[in-house]
Formats: sequence, structure tokens, C-alpha cells
Amino acid sequence: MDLRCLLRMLAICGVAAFLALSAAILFITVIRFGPASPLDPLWTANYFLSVLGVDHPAIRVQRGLNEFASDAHLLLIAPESNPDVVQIRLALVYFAYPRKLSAMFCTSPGHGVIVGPTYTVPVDGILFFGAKVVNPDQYSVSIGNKLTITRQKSTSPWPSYCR
Amino acid sequence: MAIILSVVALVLAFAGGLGMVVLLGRPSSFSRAELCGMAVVLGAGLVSLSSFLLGILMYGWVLRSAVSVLCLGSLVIALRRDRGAFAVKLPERFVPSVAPILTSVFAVAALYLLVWISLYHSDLGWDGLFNWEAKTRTAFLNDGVFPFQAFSSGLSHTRYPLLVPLFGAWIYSWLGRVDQSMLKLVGPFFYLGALLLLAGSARRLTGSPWAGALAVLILAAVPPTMIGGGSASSGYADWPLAVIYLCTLIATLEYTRTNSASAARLAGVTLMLGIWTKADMLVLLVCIAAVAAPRIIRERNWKLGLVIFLPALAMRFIWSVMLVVVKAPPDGDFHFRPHFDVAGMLLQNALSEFIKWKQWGLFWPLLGLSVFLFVIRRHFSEVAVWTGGVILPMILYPCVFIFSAWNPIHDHVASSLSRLFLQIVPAASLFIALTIHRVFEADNRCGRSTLPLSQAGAGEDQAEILISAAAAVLQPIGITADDLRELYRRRLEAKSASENSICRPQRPGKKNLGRTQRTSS
Repeated sequence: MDLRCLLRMLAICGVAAFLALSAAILFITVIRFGPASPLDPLWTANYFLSVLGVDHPAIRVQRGLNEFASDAHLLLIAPESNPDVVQIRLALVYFAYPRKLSAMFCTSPGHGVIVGPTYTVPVDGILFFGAKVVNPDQYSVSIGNKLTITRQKSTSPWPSYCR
Repeated sequence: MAIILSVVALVLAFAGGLGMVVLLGRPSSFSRAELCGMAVVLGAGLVSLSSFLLGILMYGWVLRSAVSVLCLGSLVIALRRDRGAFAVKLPERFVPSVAPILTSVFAVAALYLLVWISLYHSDLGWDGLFNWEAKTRTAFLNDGVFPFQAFSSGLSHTRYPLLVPLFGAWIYSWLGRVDQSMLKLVGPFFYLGALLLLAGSARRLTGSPWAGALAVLILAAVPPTMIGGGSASSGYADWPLAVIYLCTLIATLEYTRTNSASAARLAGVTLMLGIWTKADMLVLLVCIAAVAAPRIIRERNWKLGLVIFLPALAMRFIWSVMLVVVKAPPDGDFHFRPHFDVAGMLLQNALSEFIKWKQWGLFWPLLGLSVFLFVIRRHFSEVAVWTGGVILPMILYPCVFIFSAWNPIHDHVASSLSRLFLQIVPAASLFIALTIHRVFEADNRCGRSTLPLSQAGAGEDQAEILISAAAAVLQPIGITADDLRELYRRRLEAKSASENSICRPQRPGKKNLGRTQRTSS
């Protein structure tokens, strides 16, 4: 067998092995897909908000935030130790736009770190995720048992909401 | 209805891209499939850039109308300027050919599977939603204009450029609402571009439609192009960047082969669009420089060098200045303090990526086999071209993490390296198809290369260009391009018969014109 034939056989075997394995991987992946998901305009947002434990969480969050004026300034209070705080903050920034949203991740009572932009104006509403709700007598909307959106104008220092 | 409106938005972008390809001066050797593939890339770029620039002056339905007029207008002007670009010459007798039919079947099947996965079986993923779609939604809610205030609004990674977000906002503007499912059609749109570019380029560079079919089949069989983070169904910017890089590489290869100014222009524009897509293109810009530099330096054609690289560098500079002006916060992914101590870990991770067979299948081993076949055929003159275009990115991308700001860096590598390698997959698929095709062709052709060379193909291409030009002049007196090709073929036959070659010369038939050839030494 000369070199030319050897190289050709090598090429054929290589391509055939690649195609066979790729076809198997794709086939196994496809049969594991399960039923098709509906064409939901907020499909991915619902997925990331599913930690709230309610149906259609994206719509509920959007409705809750739409209660505020478009120039409102909101504050998110959440414990830093919660593994879902980053995705919840990003999802709330996503739905809050054009409203401004700052975040205070509480490390201990009375202490926390500011995440994202800091605005110097008073806040128009405070969102509590996995944290004790302060001033619960104000107008509030609860989405599941983890997120509460409250309307309260406040100029208090943000760490004071870490209870 | 949502799907129809999304398709209308994509078709308009494609029309604009087609117009731009022709107005930029399409290289005459490019096939229609390649032109259409480039139209996909340029169309997305046209919509995105015009939305950004016109957005300074207008918004809402006025902006959408202006961008639509721009897309259709560029197509109409292109049609009036260059009718030949779109002329379809039907054969006198239809002879079914297996390879083109197979190519079409592979392409349609892959595209169908991808659209199905995108619409019904995948979400946008973390980066897809928070880094990219969030900006798309912001632009849509702001009447199609990305507001400067949004750079400091707490959105994730605001320093990323806006090709993908503004192209998505274009689709939203046609839908009239935010729709994360329909947005995922952007990936298949670019996938279509990749299939067209691969089929057209592989066929043009080898002269064989089987190479085109093989290139399409290889790309379709790489699982991460369809499934997972960074794939065409994920809504990340990595896949559009991969297709833009393929487009740039093909145009740059054409420039290195023929010294064509139109190919250089296309390379320049697509390189700029890459910078407008993601900062990763800076690494790929270095790779394109490695491909183009030998030709630029040898010819001392600095002007064409500027044509290729200046738009991209200018785009990067303007974007950086704008980020400073709008006070965009740093992303925090990279800094200028190198961690050379992680070099061993990076090498280990890169090598382990190549053998993740459950994710990649045997794609990287197949690329390794192709490199072996490439080297063993001793076409060392091509090494610079393909090393720069395919191998160099695979070396540079792991090195980027030396500047990672993550702690630990391993997490950054684990979450990003496979997506960076995905950006090379379409270009690597082309390389594999060309190399494997050559194994079956090389000896029959007496050592003549089917791969693009920096010098060798230029004569044939110039002959084809001259034949086309002469045919246009001589057509009124009944002399066609085919007649001229026949004359050219006879002349070559007579010439080769008079030479005392070791090999028996191949008949340079009509099909071989425009193909890269090199006589054995």
C-alpha cells in the first residue's frame, strides 16, 4: 500500500468517525429534549426568575415594577449569602428599565455592600429578596414568598434595611 | 405572524447586505453562494450600524423606515450598477449533479434542526439574556436607539459593542414587542451565512462541489454550533462573531491570492463589523494580520493594508472614546496585571478542551488529522495562511486568560474557553474540507495545490477576469466567454506539451479556470 492510499484511508476513517460520533451526540441530545416549549416572549426571563416559585414570574415582576413612575429610583435589598442574588438583581435591572435600580447585598445586620450603580436621590420603592421586609405596612406586592416590592419613599441609609 | 415579521426583518437586512457587497465591489471570482453568505454578515452590520448612527437624529418608526429605505435603496442602487451580480444564467440542459444536491440537503437539514432547537428547545442562556438581550430590550424600549444613560444603568457588560443588540432591536421593532423566542432567529440567520460561505468558498477554491458538500457537512456535525452556551441557538454573540471571522478570513485569503482591492475592502469592512460585535475580535484581528501581512509586506502595498485594518482600528478607537465619554463602568473580566503563573493550567485546560468528545465529538482530532495531512503533503508555502487563520487563534485564546481578573482564573477559563474556540469552528471546517479534498486530488493533479496560495492562483484568476472582460466587449460580434476559454485551454495545452515535465500535465479544462494551481518543483 503506497502513501497516497494510506492517507486517503486515514482521511476517510477520520471523517467517518467524526460524523458517526457527532450524529450520535446530536441524536442523544435531541431525544433527551422532552416536549417542545411554547413560543413564550419571556421564556428565558421566566427561567431565570423561576427561583421565585410562581407561574409566569416575569409578567408578575413586570407588573409589580410598572406600578412605579418611569423615573423612579428603586433599591433592592438581598442577603449576599443567597446564591440567586446576582441573577435576581440582573433580572430586576432588566425589568426595571427605564427606572433606576440600585442594590444593597446585606452581609450582616446593619451592614452590606452596594452592587451596581449608586444614585444619590432618595428611593421611591424598595424590593426585598430573601430579606426581612422593613415597613411592611406600606403598599406592597409579594411575588412568591421570596420577593416583595414595596412603595416607600426613603432617605434612610441603605444598610439600615439589612435586618 | 411573529415568525413572518421576524423573517421580513431578516430579509430586509439580507437585501441591504447584498447591496453592500456589490457596492463595495464584489471580487469577480466569488460565487453567488459566497456573495449571499457575505450579504448576511454585511446586512446585519448595515442594520446595526445605521440604527446606531441614525439613532442620533431620529427614533421610533422614522428610524425603522430610514433603515428599511437604506437596505432596499442599497440593493436597488447595486442592481442598477452591476446587473451581472444577480444575473442567473440557466443552463441549456439541466443535468442533475449529486454534490450540489447533497450540499443543499445537508444545509437545509442542518438549518431546520437549528431553527427547531432555537425556537422550541433552548433558552437564551445567562449571557444571552443579561449581556445581550437586555441591551436589545433597552434599545427597543427607547424607540430603537440605545440610550447613553444605559451604559451606567447597572446592565451587565455595557462595554460590549452593539452589533448583536441593535440587530435584535431591529427584529423587535418589526414585531412591535419584546420576544425572546423570535430573537433566537438571529443565530440561524448567521448560520445560513456560514453554510453559504463554506459551500461557495470550498467549491471555488478546489473547483469541486464535493468540497463544498464536505465543508457544510463538517460544520453541521459540530454539536456546539447548535447546542449549548455560545451556540447559534443560544443568543450569545460568539456565533455571529464566528461567522464574521469566517467571512473576513475568506476575503483576506482572496486578497492574499489575487491582491484584489475589492477583496481587501470586504475584509476591511467585515473586520470592522467583528470589532463592532465583540472585543474578542481584537485577538482575531491579530490572526488576520498574520494572514495578510506577508502579502502586504512583499507587495509593499500599504494602501490595501490600511484598507483592511484601518476601519477596524478606527472603530475600536471610536468605541473606546465613547465608553470613556459615557462613563461606562469596567466589566471587571480582564486587567493589565499578567498572571504568568497560570500558563500551565491554561495549557492543560486548552488540551483537555480538545478531547472533550462528549461536547465536541471528534472535531479537534479531525482538525489535528487535517494539519497532519496538510504538512505531509509539504505545501509549506501555505503554512503562513492557515497557521494564521486557524492555528494561531487556538494558541492566542488561552493566552488571553493570563490577564483575567477573575479569582480563581480557572472559573473564567472553564466558563469561556469553549465559546472562544467555537469562534474558530467555521474557519477550521473550511480548512478541514480543503485539506481532505486535496488528499483525493493532489496526486491526480501532479502536485498542484487546491488550497489558496499567496501567489500561485493569481495568474489563473487574472486570466478569468480578462476573459470575462474581453467577452463583454466581443459579445456583439458573436464571441462568447466560452470561446475564449477554449482558446485559452488550447494555448495552455500547447504550452504544456512543449515542456519536459516529470508529471503528465493535467488538462486545464473550463472548470479549472479560476482555481489555484501550482506546478510541482
